[in-house]
Amino acid sequence: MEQTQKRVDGFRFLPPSLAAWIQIFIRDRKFRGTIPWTPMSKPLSRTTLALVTSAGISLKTDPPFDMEREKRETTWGDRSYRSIPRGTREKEIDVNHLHINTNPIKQDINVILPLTRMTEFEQEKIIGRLAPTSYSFYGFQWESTEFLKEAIAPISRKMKLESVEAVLLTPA
Amino acid sequence: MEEAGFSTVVLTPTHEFNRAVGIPRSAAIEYPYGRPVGQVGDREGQRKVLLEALAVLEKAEKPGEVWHLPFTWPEEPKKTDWQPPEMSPLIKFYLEDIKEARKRLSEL
Repeated sequence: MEQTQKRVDGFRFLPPSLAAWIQIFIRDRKFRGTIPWTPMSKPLSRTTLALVTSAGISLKTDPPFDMEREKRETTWGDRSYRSIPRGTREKEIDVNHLHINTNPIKQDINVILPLTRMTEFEQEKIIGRLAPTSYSFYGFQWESTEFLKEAIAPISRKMKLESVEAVLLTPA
Repeated sequence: MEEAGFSTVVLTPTHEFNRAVGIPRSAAIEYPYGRPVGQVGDREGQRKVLLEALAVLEKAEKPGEVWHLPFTWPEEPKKTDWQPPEMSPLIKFYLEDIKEARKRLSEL
């Protein structure tokens, strides 16, 4: 496997004590479980892509993600998801997330849900197609089993219906 | 999603989470939280990051690979203003624990 020289430090932007706290949970060792794998079936230039982010983006015409309950129940995170059609503009969205500053996303959705950039790539034939729909869920999920059932399973079903083959995921 | 038949790549600011969760393909980026693709309004910069991230879909040969993207954020971490205006409920709840974390980690 060819690699670039830079080695990313994923803790660089965290205050040192928070970085240490997280590292207690994810000790420096290799993951031992089985990792699911679907190989690319065709070149990127012929592949249909969808975007999925955990940024808590919702259309203003949809209900926003629930921040109030999380404020009351510390380890609860909204497990629902929202569909975001291609072509969605900043003025049409709400962004709710208690763990990041949401202002940059409100100013330019492409910093985490790059719909405009992917449309450019589609026109330039770098990708086959951007699917009609992309998705946002809410990134704070302490217990993940229910979340997989309530958000990821329905998102996957919808993506199948739109012939999606590959997904770019952008965690907040 | 891979189990459902999709090829996925995660453009991740914390690739180290793959120690705890199996991630099929990671494109690791050293950018602040909430802006993994790049700076507000920086079309060219965003395109470069996305081209590299999408390339991982084709380059990765086996599950669990992490490709480190070569980009550097132009501001010092403290100046990126990525944190929420108010401390998150989780951090507030575990604040004392977090304050002790560096000591605890060094003892592990």
